[in-house]
Amino acid sequence: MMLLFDPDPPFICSYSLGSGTSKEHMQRFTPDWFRNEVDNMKSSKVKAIGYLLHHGGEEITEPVKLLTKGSLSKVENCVRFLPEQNEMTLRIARYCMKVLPEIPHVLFCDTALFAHLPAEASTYAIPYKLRAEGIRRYGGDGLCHQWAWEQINTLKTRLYKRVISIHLGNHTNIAAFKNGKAVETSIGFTPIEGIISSTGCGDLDTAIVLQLVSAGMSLEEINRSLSSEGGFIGLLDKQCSLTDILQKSEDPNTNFVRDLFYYQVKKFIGSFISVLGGVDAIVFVCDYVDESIELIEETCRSLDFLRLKRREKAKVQDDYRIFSEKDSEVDVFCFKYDKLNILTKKLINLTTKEL
Amino acid sequence: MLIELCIVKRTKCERENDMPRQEFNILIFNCGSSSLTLKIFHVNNAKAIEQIFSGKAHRVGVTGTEPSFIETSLNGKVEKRIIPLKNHAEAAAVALENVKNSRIPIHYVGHRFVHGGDHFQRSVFLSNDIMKQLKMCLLLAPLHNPSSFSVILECKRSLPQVQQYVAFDTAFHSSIPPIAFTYGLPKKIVKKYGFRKYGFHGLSYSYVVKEAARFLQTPLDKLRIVACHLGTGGSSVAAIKEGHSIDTSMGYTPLSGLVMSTRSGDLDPILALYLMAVYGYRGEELNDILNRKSGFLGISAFSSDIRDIIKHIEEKEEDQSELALNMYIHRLKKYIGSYIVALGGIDVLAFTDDIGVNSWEVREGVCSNMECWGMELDEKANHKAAKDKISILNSKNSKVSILTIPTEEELVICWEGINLIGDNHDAAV
Repeated sequence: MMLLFDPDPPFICSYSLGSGTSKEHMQRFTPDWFRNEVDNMKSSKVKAIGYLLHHGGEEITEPVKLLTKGSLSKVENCVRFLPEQNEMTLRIARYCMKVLPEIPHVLFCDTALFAHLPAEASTYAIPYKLRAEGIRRYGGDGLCHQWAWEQINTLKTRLYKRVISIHLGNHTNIAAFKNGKAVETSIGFTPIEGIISSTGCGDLDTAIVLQLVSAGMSLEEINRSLSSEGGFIGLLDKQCSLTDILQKSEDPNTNFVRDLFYYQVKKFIGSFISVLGGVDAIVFVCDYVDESIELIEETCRSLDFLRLKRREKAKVQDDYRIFSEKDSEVDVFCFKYDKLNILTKKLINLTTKEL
Repeated sequence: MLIELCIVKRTKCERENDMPRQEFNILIFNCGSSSLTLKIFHVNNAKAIEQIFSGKAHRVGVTGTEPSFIETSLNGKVEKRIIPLKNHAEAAAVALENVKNSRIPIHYVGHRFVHGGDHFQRSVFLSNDIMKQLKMCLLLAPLHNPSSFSVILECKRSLPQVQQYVAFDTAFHSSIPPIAFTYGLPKKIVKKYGFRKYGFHGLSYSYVVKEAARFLQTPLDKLRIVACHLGTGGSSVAAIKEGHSIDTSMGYTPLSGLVMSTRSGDLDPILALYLMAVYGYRGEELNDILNRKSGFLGISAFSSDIRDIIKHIEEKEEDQSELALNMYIHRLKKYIGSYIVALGGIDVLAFTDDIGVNSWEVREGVCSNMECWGMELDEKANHKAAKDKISILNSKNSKVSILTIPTEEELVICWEGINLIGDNHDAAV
């Protein structure tokens, strides 16, 4: 059996390695359930455990890393960047390493892909003493973008040097690759910067935050407004996820939020095309493929002028779709993204080789 | 009672009828953050405009080793007077004295007002009502609006009989659609505070796009323009479709967008909260750091002036100058790309204001490796761009016209005035 822990939202996924096929058991994370599970682990045959770290700060610069006591202290140092989630990952990793010292424990880090962004992309234009405290663009969702890049570059249809990868999910974000290296990301110091999400505000004039402070709102209140009460639900004033706004709706307010979201995605694609000096492939990695088709097609239409030749209807290949014609200068793909499945497979590959 | 009112109204109309003179002079005031520019334009009956007087107060309100001074130019004669200028009102008082001494009759006064908020979508003549509304806008641009307001009051004192009007930097951007001006904040907060993207440098953009269309002999409604207003103080970029702004990099205030001389431009929205929560910064402190100690000054740690930064790069100084310039260019390239997609293509890339017109280094950096958008810079032409007139910088094969267009904000304020005076005349008739 393999276990994978994700702190956002708290989730444990366990895979039983049966006769060649893997079976998946998911369980909402609760502390009680977890203690039981770990107690069971001692008697069962857990082969490896993976942990997701959403913010690796300055120290965790490898996307996949075997955990040791030494590297755990590095995780400790980056708790401050994303306190709630990182703290949880740290506690659980520490506990499991103590009870099951003999098996491999693997850390998956979502910011590592962007650890070596070019300085002009990672630096904020603020005084040195603040930058020296580790304030920079860290990016995020790197495991997803790395996977997307691997997917299209294993197709071997063409060599894609300049790639833009878009993860369409509840925290939609975009990354740019040049010659296999990540050179830009829409995520900043935290995942709130960039594109509007279901609860996050996206890009904002910082003067607004400062005005709210001087108006007497507490930091917690402002943080809530920006991170958990903003975005789609803030604009629509009702519970709402990405799938609710992705397609044309009867409701004009919902349509407005859809248009606004599309517009932000398009603008980010444009800005990264500038950074790359052109684009060879655009990859959409979707949590909800069917609902995302409309956005992908509209995005392709808006890039017509870059000699992106659209197919009338997307072509469905094994596990992906292709939206561009064969002779298009820009290829557009869409893959279904299943984070836990993909990471568990990585975990299996990694640890079974070593065992 | 009724009859009296009618008579009063009638005499008022008659007076207004006289007002739109065939020929008149407009005095224009333009407040910068530490300067005050004034110009007098003569407008003849064919609406031809001639600049007949100009002046500029430098280092207004700046404490430093060099003193403040005011320079005026009349009939080719330039005068410089070193005089302490504590604030913009004092500078205006000295300037108005100079104007009086010149004996040029003033018929109208026009002012630039940076932030008109939701109150103003177009230029207006001053009235008591308008003054009240302007007062409500003061805090929207704390570096600029209060100084413009103090200059208006000074003019009212000094020229009580003269009609004044204001032109707004935000007005040009009032055409930006809701999908571009809306922030992803909770509805109730937006409603309470009125947060939205306003955008700035509108007077400059309105001049630049008109000039681009005139120069290229193409109607504005056939042009997709990305215009970069790169000033020694603030910088911004705007996407302009058929003559109307559809997006711009500055936001609710001039803090966001591009890297600027001392302003940070775009930041993670959580960053300010993090700095307050973890390091105990107060709101005002951060406001000061992000507005006055960031940007070029923050990155380079020695200068807010791009000329110093470029000089250090040439002299191969081992500091962060190269990073500062690279960041400036990188951020600008990103905005240009996003606006090209927003416009569905681009016909003109225009550079204006001090850095835009004077720095070939910045333009070369911005236009390099941008062939994907159909842009091709002619390096020689780029080096030779004129400081005082429009220059073409693109090569023959370029699908995009790349231009430098020296901006003339005061002239736009004058145009606005001529339109207002004309409207006033029409309404009276």
